[in-house]
Amino acid sequence: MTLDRFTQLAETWGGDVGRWPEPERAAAERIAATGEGAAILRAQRSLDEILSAAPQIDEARSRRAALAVLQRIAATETREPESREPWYRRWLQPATLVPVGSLACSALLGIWIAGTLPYHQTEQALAAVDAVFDASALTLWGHQ
Amino acid sequence: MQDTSDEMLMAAVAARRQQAFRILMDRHMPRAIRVAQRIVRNPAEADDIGQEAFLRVWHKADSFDPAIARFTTWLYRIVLNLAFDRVRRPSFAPIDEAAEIESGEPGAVETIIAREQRRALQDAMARLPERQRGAIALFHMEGLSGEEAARAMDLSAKAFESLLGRARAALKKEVENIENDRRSR
Repeated sequence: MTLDRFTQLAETWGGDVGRWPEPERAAAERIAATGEGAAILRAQRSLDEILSAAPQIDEARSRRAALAVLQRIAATETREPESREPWYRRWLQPATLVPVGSLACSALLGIWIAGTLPYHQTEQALAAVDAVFDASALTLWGHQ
Repeated sequence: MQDTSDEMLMAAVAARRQQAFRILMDRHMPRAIRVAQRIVRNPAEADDIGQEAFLRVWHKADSFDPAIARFTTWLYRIVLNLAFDRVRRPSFAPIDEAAEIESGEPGAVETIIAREQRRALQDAMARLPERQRGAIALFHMEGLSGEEAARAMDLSAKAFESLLGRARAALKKEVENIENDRRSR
């Protein structure tokens, strides 16, 4: 490693050779052991020190932010069952399917009867309608 | 549960366990706010970003894969993306914050010149493009390795090295200007 390359690495990664890219470290350590190398690193360390100064985040501030997150989650999750599911999923609930199913069956029965019965009433047709609609004609145990 | 790794906690968060999520926030909320503040420089904006980042952690927990990245790398990436978006908004106006400048070393040791130098450098930091500020925050402030920081910024190692090098060069120039000003006084 040349001194120029060493300087370039120091200017990029700072004055701590231990934080430089691993493949360069062994050669860099040898230059760092010289007076010239040590001076280059020393010059970069003062910049490192300033750059590593972090804003202080006190615990109360952090807790306030965490609490706000939990409140926002609680607020969205109480709304979610309505808003999150796509519309077709909401239709596929048992509470919705029972009335919708009943309505569909009624419609099919109506269509079937309309198709089966002749336009003009006959005794036979009326008997068929009676058989379907006259609840007193059928019981659980058979014909009355 | 306090000793559980971040990655194990994330598995619990994906199963909608709030206790695990609270522990993760206790551990990492200060870090999220700190990095955001370094980039946006406005404490209120930084708090918002910290909150938004953890909301994303909660809602997207099932997309986290510990085989691809550590939790902190994933979190840094979320925070940086939110902070960069915030800075790019046309209405964004950062404010000065004395707390950041004064934090760090004990005042008794510092000379007035050193304080001025620190302040000028912080101003120079504020003038850096946001991605360079992000690189400085991750590598110097958070102490991530070059590889980890590159991963968090979704960059190749080479691209991160170049970004960090440019940021430090700009700041070094600023230091030299300050030194020259001081000598000419």
